[in-house]
Amino acid sequence: MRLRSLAGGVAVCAALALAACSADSDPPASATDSVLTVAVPDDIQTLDPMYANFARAHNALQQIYDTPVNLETQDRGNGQLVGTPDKLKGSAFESWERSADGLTYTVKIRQGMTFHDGSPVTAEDVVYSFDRALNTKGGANWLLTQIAFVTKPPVVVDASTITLTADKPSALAIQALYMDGLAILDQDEVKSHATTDDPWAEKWLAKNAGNGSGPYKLTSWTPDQEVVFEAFDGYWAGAPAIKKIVWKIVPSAAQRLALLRSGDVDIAESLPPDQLASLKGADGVTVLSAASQNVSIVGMNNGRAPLSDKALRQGISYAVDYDRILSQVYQGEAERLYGPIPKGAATSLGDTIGYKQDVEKAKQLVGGSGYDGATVKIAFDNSKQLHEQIAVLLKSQLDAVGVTTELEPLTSAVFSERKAKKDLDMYVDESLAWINDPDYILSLTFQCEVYGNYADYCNQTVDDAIAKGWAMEADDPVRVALFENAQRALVDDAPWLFLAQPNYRMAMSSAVQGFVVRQNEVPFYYDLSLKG
Amino acid sequence: MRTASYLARRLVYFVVSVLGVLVITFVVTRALPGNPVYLLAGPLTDQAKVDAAIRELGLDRPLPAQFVAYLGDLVHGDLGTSLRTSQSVVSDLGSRWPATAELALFAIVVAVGWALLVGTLAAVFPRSVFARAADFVGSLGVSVPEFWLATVVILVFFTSLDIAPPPIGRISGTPPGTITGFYTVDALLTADWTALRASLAQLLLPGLTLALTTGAPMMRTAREFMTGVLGSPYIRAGRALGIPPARLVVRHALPNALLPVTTMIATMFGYLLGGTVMVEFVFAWPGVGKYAVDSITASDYAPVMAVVVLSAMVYLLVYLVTDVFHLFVDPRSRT
Repeated sequence: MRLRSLAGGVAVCAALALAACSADSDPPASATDSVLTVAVPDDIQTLDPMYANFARAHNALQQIYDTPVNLETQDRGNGQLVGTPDKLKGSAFESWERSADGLTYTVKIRQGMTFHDGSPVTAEDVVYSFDRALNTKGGANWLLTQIAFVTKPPVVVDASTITLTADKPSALAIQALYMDGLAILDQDEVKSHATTDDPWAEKWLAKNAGNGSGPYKLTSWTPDQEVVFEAFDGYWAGAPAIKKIVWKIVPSAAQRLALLRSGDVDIAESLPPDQLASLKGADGVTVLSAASQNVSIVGMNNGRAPLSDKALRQGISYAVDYDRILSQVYQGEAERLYGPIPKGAATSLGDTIGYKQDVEKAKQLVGGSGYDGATVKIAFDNSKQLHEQIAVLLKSQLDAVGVTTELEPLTSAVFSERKAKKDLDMYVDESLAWINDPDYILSLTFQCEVYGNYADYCNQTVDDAIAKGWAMEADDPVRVALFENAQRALVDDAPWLFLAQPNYRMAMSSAVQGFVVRQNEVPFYYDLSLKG
Repeated sequence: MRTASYLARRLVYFVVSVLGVLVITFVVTRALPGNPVYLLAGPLTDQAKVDAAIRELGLDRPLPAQFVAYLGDLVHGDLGTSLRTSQSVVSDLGSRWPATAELALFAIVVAVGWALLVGTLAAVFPRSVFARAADFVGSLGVSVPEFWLATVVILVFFTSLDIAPPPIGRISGTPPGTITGFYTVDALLTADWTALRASLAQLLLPGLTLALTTGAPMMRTAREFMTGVLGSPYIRAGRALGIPPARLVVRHALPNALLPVTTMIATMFGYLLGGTVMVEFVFAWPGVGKYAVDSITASDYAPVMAVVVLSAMVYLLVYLVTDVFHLFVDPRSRT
């Protein structure tokens, strides 16, 4: 036992249920085995699954609630475990069958599944959860109506069967249902908190963990301080290996790193590249690094001068020193991104398309464009250090080819608002598609007039591919050709600077086993176990 | 009588100042660019839903109408709801304010203690090694940023020497049952000795960091005024009359030197009660300072308003108490 003499630190350690002292040798193995302590940077924004939009909310909700379907764990063979939406397994949906016209799904609801309080998960609960998603304004509504094309709640056929009907066929209808927005809620509980002003109990569910059926229950929440989850031993797939998860909310990355090094926590979330690099060779610490489909980009405003000029955007695309961004900002822990569809997503053309730095060509294109020397502002969210680094590098590279630039640091809220209102020239951003399919990715960011099309881009070839792609099977050669064309068109139009695919990285104690990198990059603690 | 009218006047000032702060904060938070809805909506939405959310929050209404609605809620004790935490601002502050106040009280007590002791001794023995050391610590305390000091303190006492508990906020383990919200007080009241030790241990590093930075200017002020008083004619007369040196310092010099120091203490205490963002950030201390900054980043108006107005009230209250205190100790302020 190490000395923690200030104010009787030994007692402090004992009182900790051994969680923070797991690196010490004294505590009995059985106790340390069952507690996982995680240092996270921030607190939960909302507990209403349909409105979750930030990492911590997803992180909590994924443990508390089951979704209709889940990601099957796949072993990549190199010791890496991944979960992607192209391999699904049933969760609340035990199995499903699609009708010949592709519109109706006959779904078997898993029997014997219970909520945390022991009451059964019924077909009515599932239907209610869909109904709530369709009647509230969160992300789940968008997934159902815009991706699955489901606008009506499912219908109960019998106690173990429902039918889900879409307005038009969608290749991604079931894939969209793995996301935590479609959490299965206990309708009796939620209804008991509904009021006439708030028929879907949005106020209550935003700040209370409902009676979910997921592998963990949220048992204690001290704001900005600590969140505790305890295992739900009645989980349908079997009791979780780790009995208790403790989140310590530690806003400073340097302190999260220090806590991991000292063994006070088992996982340190969201460490920046320089701190992860400092862990190289550290005793008892593993840094997981996996290819990711998260894309690091700089959007350009295609809808207003001067960047509405295609030749200027192409010129800028040639001016960027991509290698320097990979090595300097991401310290080499990233792959180059060449186009709108990242490597790892279906139909990606990888490095067969895209721009490489060519300063002469950049100068030519900029010179030959209609660019009049107006100042181009490079905006970034000033809470994101890496985005600032990208903006700074970009500025010098663009200045070198004759484009006058200015940095525009903004607070998160201002950045989001002006981005959504298409009121920024260039913006440094990141985007992780939760479904690795070109139709999902393009419809979210490049479809004409769609909300998330912050670059204000519009191209008929791309929109055609998006529209036609939905009804086709993922491996249909016609569909593949459509999206390959769309990628070429997008690269030629250069609405974004396609910079990088930064690796997904997580620093953890070597005792943590079974970490699965899921498509949405939200850890699922049910996968994990601790080596004694 | 004169005292009563003075107090009444101060009370009116207090109310007018708070109202002024309310108006200014309201206008400034709303006039600054940034609408919280866009950040919270995320990309999976459409403009109609965003507009509906803005309407629901009343953010599309004219500023005066919004202000009247805010005041209406305020008199009913409703500070609004934080969009960033989904909780009511009252409950958010209910958990964060005690964290800040407990740390501030701890820090100010330690700061006053060391500042007065060291300041007085340094003035009494001006040419000693001790006085030089005090000089050094004083300059260090006023010139070193809290953020840096906090980081160094953790590096030394937790990471290297391993004699301090990890910087994970207010307590390791189970907090005591809630009575006042002050962990140390609640632990005492519920006779939870484990929690008392644990919460005191967590207070030490951030408390000492703040005690050094806020105590340093106090110490320098105390020393300066003490030096002045010690050189004044009445002290020299006292010395000539053979009053023992210790009695001369404690009974005759100190009370006169203390007065300006109390103003300094009030300023520092007011500052601490507003929440010390950087120290809270480094020590993962769940206080109002970091809460306010996070809310500003998200353009989350209700909590920003609440924190600013609360801090202003606390400041004004601390000053009021100081002035009343002066009224009784210092005969000059009664004229």
